[in-house]
Amino acid sequence: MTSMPDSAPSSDALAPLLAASANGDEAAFARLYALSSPKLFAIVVRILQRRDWAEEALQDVYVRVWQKADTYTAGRGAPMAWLATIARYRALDLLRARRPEINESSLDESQAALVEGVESGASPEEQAAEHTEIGRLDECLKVLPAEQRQVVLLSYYEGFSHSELAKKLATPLGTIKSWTRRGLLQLRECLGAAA
Amino acid sequence: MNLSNHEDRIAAAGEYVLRHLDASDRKEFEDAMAKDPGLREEVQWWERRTALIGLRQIPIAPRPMLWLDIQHRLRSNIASIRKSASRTATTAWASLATAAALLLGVGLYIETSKPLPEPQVVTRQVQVPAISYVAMLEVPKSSLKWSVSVTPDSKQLVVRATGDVPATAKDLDAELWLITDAGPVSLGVIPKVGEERRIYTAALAFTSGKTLAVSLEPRGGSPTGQPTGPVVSTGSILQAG
Repeated sequence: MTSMPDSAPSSDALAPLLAASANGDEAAFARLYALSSPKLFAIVVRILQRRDWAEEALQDVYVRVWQKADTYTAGRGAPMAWLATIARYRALDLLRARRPEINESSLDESQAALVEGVESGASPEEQAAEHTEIGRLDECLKVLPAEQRQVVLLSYYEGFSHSELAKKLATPLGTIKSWTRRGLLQLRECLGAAA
Repeated sequence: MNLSNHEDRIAAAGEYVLRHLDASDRKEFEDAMAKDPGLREEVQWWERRTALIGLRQIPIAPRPMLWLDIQHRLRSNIASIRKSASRTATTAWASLATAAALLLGVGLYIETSKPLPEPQVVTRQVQVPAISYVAMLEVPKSSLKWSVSVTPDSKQLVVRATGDVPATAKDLDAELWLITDAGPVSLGVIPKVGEERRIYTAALAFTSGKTLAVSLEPRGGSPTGQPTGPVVSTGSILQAG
């Protein structure tokens, strides 16, 4: 009971819990929550930057996971990746509903940090397999030109659309579209080997 | 939107996942994806890979109370779904709760001459990731419920009441009991409205599987040291780890 809640849950542990949750097993779902919520909470906190919104988003996420557990298949990736995707989408939806319209403005501190390079913050005791995958992603992001990396990361955490990015970065829409397309294709090529 | 060649499809799927697409392109892409399993696979590829960006964040444990809120929402949800009687999982949840009640030997049902609205024994089983024990105590046929959380390290007991106090409980105090092998042990009168924090000094082990109960008592609590009024709610304590 004194163990840190952030020990990285392995797919081995989470997959059966998801399957049991799909069958309505409350205890399995509670366990799934215990194992995965610190990671998902970190994601929604990072995106929403407000604890109250993040708590609301996290609730929504787990209600959704309970309802959709039966749609999870191994093809969706590791359970943790699937959960992280649900969390990110929910947080972005909430952010979109709550934040004011994007105007031309300089990047705030956390947005600027994204541009500086790949964020610091990966916990060193990440589970080995996941760590390897994250390390690979970092490498692939690092080889992208700065502006391409910027649009990818800004969109991941902020959900900025092409036109919002154009306003936010005071850059023509066509240029933004070209950055994202080239950035994504290069990322795909770099990561593709590990698909 | 051009989805004719491989690169276009890869890029569009990535843009869709990252939410680059503006509303009209987004709609167009979703329509295309509905008819094109290959495009859906591209989307899932990006979802798998980009999820790693978020998983780099240092984990943050949510407050224990959040899990109680989630459970409450699931139950409300289930109640409304059950009305339409369509989902197996919801029935499974309900029977699991019943089974848990039997397994845990929640036989606490105190006969009373003045029963509250249909006193039933309802077991609530909860679990959280932090170093706390929690239980949810709901009063059947009423919106009143208590969430109880005990954090042994800080010796803190937090009781939060939400919902409306039923008319039958208005002139009585609610008393919390820990059910031990030797019988119920009082944890004191708890609020019917709002939150109360107190130091938990009882030399009683809060352990998972144990049961909490709430009874209605005269003002100031049970005069005998044992529950004298109707038990309006019980819930089992669980600890996660």
